[in-house]
Amino acid sequence: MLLPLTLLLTIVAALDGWQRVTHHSELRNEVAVIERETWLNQGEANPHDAAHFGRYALRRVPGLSAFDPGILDYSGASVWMEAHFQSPPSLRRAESRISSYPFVYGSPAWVLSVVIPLLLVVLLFGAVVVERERRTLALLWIHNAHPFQLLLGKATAALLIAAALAVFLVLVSCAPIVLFRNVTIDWVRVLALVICFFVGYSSISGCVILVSAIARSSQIAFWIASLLWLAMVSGPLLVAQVAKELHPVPRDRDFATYIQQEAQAPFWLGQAQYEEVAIYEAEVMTQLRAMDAQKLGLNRDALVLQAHERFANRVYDRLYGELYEIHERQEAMLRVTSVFSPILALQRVSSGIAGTDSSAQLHFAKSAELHRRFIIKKLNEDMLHNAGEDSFRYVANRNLWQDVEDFAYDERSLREILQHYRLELVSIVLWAILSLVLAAVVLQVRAKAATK
Amino acid sequence: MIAIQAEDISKSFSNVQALTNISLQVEIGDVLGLLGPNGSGKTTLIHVFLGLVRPNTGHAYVLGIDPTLDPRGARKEISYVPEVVSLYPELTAIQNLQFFNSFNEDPCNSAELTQYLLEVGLDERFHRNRIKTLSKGMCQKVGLAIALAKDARVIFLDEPWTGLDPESAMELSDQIRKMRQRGRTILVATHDIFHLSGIAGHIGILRSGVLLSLVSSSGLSAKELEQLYLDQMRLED
Repeated sequence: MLLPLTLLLTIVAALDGWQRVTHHSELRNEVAVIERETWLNQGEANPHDAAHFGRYALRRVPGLSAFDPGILDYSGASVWMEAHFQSPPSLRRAESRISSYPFVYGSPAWVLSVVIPLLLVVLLFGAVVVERERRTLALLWIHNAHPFQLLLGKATAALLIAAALAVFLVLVSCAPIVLFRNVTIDWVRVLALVICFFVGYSSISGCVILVSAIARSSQIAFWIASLLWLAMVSGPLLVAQVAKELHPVPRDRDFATYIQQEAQAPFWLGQAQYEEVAIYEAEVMTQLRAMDAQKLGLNRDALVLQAHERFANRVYDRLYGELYEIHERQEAMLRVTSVFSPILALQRVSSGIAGTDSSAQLHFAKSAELHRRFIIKKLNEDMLHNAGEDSFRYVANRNLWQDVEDFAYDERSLREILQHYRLELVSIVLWAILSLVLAAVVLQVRAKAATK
Repeated sequence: MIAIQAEDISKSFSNVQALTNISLQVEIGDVLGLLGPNGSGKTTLIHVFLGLVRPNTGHAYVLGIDPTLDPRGARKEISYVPEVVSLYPELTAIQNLQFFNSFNEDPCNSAELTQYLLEVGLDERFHRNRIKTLSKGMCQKVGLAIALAKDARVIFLDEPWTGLDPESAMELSDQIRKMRQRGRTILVATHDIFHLSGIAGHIGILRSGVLLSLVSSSGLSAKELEQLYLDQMRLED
């Protein structure tokens, strides 16, 4: 009964996931077209005005976010790219959702990583202990069954269940793509998900069999296995809260103030400008193999603007670097926790492969910032070389705007993702191996202890 | 030659003395009936021979092997049918038989297993029924078929007639006779004097863990056996 219900839940979650991804993809593509048209049709303008006119870097919607939305709904879908300022990602999808949305956690990945382990608990808690209660275990010992034979039988059955569930449910989760053809998914990643869930289920099955081998009664085995599941599911939430307390991030307003204080004021109001401009001017002269900027007709204001970009970028690298370091410390706590919770490890790897984890978001934010710097430099260099004495009166046209490429970036490869989550992957495999080995040892001891 | 031997075996659980200085011998091909009321130590004694209970003192031997020291070696020679045959309820009778048979050194083929089920009197139409749908008597027959399929030289039967209808009980007695004719050594623990009288070569009477007597039952009728049993019980009172 539980299995059909889980299957139904997976199908509903999958349909919901694919519907959402389709909607977001269409929206994203529409916005991308409008954004480009707006940029191209801004008319004649000074390049620095265009740099303030700004553009959006839009995050591509990963196809597998239908399977595992990860933090996608709660992290910015775009980055505003403007001169002088590095902006954090903004426009979270969750903000545009209706508050009473009923299916917040019901993604296929959630069903597969939280509900299925519970199902495995229900299916396997009695694997060994019921044999003892039913007294078939004594009969098996009398038939000289070896504890390893018994475990092999239990483990094979559990692994077959795990494999069937992993293959079937991941494919069921991806099946609606037939209905929503405008979204593409990487089938190699789907295969990687199947393998990860299979190994994850194997480790959870191993744990439950181990509990079943240790427990004195099936009732105790059920409660221990259920509590273990609960600890694996809820423990990480507690750790995440502790991580936030131990490694607090600055408030948005405070962070904006630091940036203002360190990236803007020292340059525009302090002494930093002179040195920075002199260094940049020297670099430009070296590049152009010239001695005098004025003789070349280079625009002084553009030189100052780009010098500020270079100054501010160093500040952003430092301040955002510190912020990312805090995030990384929080992440490290969860990473260590995942060693103790195969469910958390599975969730982290799953969202990683789906491209919806925090590291994918960080990768997007960093790529967008690189693109912002590239755009602003291009506009400043155009002004530098073409504005002459006109300075801010100089205007560029559509030709320049067309030269400014749209934001496009390569998502991390599967190899990079698996490399990033190597600790989680190793821990899942170790859980699978260790739990089964321990179960074998316990059974061996139990077999000897059968002689009272 | 001796198939089953107990040498001064004593066993206590917490404060309960289950067996006290039990010594007995069963020759190859003989059937020993252990008579005694509930709690007299019959099952405990069988468990000592099975290597499931370690005696506090004394030694048990099955075909010269001490099951405490070499349980796997001893169990190779043993078949056992417990009082309540524990099988896998979701599997059919033949599947249970196949499963337990798979642990035997020389497993039987399907046809042979079917023959064993027929031999113990389980009608073919029940062979593919799940155990949970079979009666206790039918399960007992499946348990007996499992024991037969193992083709062990020593067979322990614990309360084999309990819960069986008269016809099934008679069939079981016939089966035990056949096994004896094949040269198997059998130890039957029971309090069913009527069924035991026709098949046992020797009778042991146990009470409160003490072997009160061990006599040859040849020529003894069920009535005489019953009188012997009651006399022993009264003597102790």
